[in-house]
Amino acid sequence: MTMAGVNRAPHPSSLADVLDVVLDKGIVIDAYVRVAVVGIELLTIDARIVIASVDTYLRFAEAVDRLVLEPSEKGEGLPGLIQDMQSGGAKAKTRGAIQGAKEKAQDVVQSIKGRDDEEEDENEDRGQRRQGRGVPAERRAPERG
Amino acid sequence: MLLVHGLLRAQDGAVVDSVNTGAVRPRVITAGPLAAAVSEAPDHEPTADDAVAHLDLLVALVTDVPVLPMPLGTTARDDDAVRDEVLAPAVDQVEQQLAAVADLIEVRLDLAFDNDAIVSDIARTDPEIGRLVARARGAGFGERLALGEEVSARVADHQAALAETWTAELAGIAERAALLSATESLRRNTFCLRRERLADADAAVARIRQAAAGRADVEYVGPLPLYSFLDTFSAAREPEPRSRWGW
Repeated sequence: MTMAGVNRAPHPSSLADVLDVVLDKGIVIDAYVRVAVVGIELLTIDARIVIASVDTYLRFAEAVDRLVLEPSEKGEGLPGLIQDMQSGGAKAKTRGAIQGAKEKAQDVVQSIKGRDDEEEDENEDRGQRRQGRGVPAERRAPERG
Repeated sequence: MLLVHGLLRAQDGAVVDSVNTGAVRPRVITAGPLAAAVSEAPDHEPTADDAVAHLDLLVALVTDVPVLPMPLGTTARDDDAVRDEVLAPAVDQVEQQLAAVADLIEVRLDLAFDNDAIVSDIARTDPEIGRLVARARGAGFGERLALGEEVSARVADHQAALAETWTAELAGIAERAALLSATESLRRNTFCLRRERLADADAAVARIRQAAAGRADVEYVGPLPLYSFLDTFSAAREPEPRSRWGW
């Protein structure tokens, strides 16, 4: 049997992606046969929640704002700024402003989601909420602000 | 109780016994021209490990022979139930589907973009962005949101353009290609290949990794059974002949 090359993995690295492949997928023989598909109790299935893009838009606005305007104000070239951003320097500069915007955005998201478990959400860790996008942690861009 | 993992041609049934994926001890049940790869069902609800083991078994099989995957958790009472209720009633349908996918496999390619790098590309190359930023700076929440929406759309466009460029060679090797999903930072592509082209696909993906370095991480998975293209090949089945009156 040929084994997968070093370049290729036999299955996705995250469980959510494995389930995305195998759950409810494949051939269905006949509606009348006495075979059963037993339930899968895995919380990761429920983790794929689509939330509004407000938070995304604000993060993009912040990122492009830094990249476009700050060079002329500081007389610094773009490469330097990118390096600055990558080293975390830019994070502190905008932390206060964007944090306020994010809180506002989360109010909007809350209203769009229409959930009435506000108290639970307030206590919910923000990192856990981000997992709702279904993107494995190692793939997500570092969180700013 | 048995878990039914996938269906094969009876002539390929011996492959099931030679597979050693560790987590599952598969065996084969045959009936006429068909075979089923089964294993003893665990005495608990399927877990994450069972999901991975199910997929690993199918990957091991499809590497060498055609296999039609059953949904995870498909169970049958015993060997007779597999023969009488899974294999026998659908023999024509399954034979046709196995013939249709005989030489084909699926590989998936996830591109996980570094959006800092993508936004940098856009800020550097799109003159419109500077004007939009200037207009939004110091403005209200709504203007900043509009700016972010504009940038988000450009990020999606740029990701799509990069992905198309990077995967062009792989798409040329593939029989079919599809975009399974696209989110803020992840584009999941899937490709239907002839099994004999897998090495070519591997080489193409190695070049994709080089091209995408600094802008996207690449996850390359396969060979999978034709999960994403099953409907395509099932649809190729000839319809039942009808009378001239339409029934």
